[in-house]
Amino acid sequence: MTVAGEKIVVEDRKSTDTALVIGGGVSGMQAALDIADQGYSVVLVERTPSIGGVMAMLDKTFPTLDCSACILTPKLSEVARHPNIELMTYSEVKSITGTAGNFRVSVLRKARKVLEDKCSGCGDCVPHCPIEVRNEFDQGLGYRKAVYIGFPQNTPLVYTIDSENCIKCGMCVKSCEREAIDLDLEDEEIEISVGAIVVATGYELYNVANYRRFGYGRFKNVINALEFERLINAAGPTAGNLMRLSDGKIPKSIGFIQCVGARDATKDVPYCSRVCCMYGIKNAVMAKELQHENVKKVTIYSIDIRAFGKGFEEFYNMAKDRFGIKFIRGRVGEVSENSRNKNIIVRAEDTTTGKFLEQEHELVVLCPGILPPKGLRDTANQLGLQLDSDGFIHVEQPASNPVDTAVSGVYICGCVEGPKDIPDSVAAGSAAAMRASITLWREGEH
Amino acid sequence: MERAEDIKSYKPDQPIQDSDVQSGFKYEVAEHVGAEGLMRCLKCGACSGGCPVAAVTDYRPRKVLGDVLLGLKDQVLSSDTLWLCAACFTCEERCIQEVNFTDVVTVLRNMAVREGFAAEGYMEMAKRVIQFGRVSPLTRQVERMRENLNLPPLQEPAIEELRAIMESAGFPEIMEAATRRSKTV
Repeated sequence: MTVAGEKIVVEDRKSTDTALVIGGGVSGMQAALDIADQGYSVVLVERTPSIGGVMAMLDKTFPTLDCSACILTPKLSEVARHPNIELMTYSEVKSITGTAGNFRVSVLRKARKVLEDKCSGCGDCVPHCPIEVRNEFDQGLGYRKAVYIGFPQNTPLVYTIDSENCIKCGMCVKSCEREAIDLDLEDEEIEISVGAIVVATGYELYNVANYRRFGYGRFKNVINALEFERLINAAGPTAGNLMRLSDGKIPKSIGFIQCVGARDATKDVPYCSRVCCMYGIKNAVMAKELQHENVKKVTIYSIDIRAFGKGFEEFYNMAKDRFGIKFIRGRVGEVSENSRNKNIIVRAEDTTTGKFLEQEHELVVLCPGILPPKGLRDTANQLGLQLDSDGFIHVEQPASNPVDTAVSGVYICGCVEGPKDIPDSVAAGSAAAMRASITLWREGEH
Repeated sequence: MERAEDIKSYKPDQPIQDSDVQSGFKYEVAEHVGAEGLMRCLKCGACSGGCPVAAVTDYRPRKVLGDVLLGLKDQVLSSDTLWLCAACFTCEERCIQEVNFTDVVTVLRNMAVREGFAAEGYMEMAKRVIQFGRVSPLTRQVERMRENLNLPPLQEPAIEELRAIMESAGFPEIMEAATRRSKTV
């Protein structure tokens, strides 16, 4: 839907005309757009300086191999420009009280020290900043300044000054022609009233360093899948040139290890994370696609390949037949490093033949599972929501009301309920938006 | 890499006949202390992948588990590979389903011995314990080494008491079962 017009002022609206969406990933954005398109106003609170979530970090989506940014960026702009959406990035929900129709929410707006209405995103301040730190958006593989945007499509296109690393030299202030930088700005807490809440705080990836036997953190050429994603992304730290971290060479042989932090009862993640098989295959295909001259051998080590969605099985078969990716059914026992050339030796059993494999790969990618986000328990406690034993939010009626929580007026979407892929997250976002607007309509005066 | 490939004597499984399968075998095994986790196995192969014995022989923990779950009782209990486990507990440490395979092997070995399938080396060791009260004979060399290390001389084991304990635990009967089979075969 094309939208235009003056931005609403949330403070002027009744609580029953406003919804709160917590989390600006693809699911939260969809929820915000669908509520806003019905004429209600929406406050979208996002913890990081930009909306977009993890999808913004991805290079391609499975199973169509569509460019992730090409799908997401129009949505980013739509959310930013929608007259009914007030975007609060770099902000956190501190407390929530009240009931459906009238929730009182206090939001901490962290000082980004750049005035959002003045900054044009020109980036003139960046060359003047003397501080360089690792960019979280690039999974620490690239660098950014203390005054930064995480990625080119940062939405809103407003720079942020990272107070932790800023030395207050004032160089950026002098360089800014629009006088948009004020280093004395402080955090502020604001109160808003909303009628319905959508929780879309997403997920976090399993910390693969917990598996010492897979060598992450010990061997340079063992990386996780999101790091791989940034390495093949044209906007990433290597401008899309796939290389291994020990010597910058293009890896000729790559191994993908599946189920790292998924289906493992000993690591408290007994559930399947749903997306890892497919993103593993996608990354394997992308490695071949990008560097078909150089990448000769791509092997995926898995327990089972769970290609359950529309077009997934076909994608899996295409990876095998057209791209020649080798699939080994066998969980990897351990990896070690060849000290001479820093290659990674993977030990596993091919369980279909019983053969013991000891294969050398120039790069090994661990495919982590999905965990509930940190701090979800606090959010849940404030809202009076229960968590399941796996740490995700409990849904009372998953079959009939998949986005409803135990609290009236509070809905959930995306990975906060359990691992989901992008289409499912977006579908849940739309569903939660519908449920939230029904609450708003019922609670409002008609 | 070549090393592991060369010594492969592993052949894809022979066809399994109905008569080989005893479907209740897995329940029989899982009843024993330590083997309760057996039924959780996904046959993912993480045990074999990290097994130091699997790297050099055709022993595959996953294969043993798979055979137990299939109900190939005679094949599992009579196989030599059952005795190759070094009890390093690596598989137990890494198993994502908490199957505790090393304990399962102990249960299987105990069952195998009662069925008369004890490995020769283990039988020799058992005989030595009954006879001398030690797993390995005490030699002059050992005594000298202990002297050099300033260790006190080894005491004579209380063989009579040891035998009494072993007899009341039914050890001679188990030994007999194993010996009987080796004579008939």
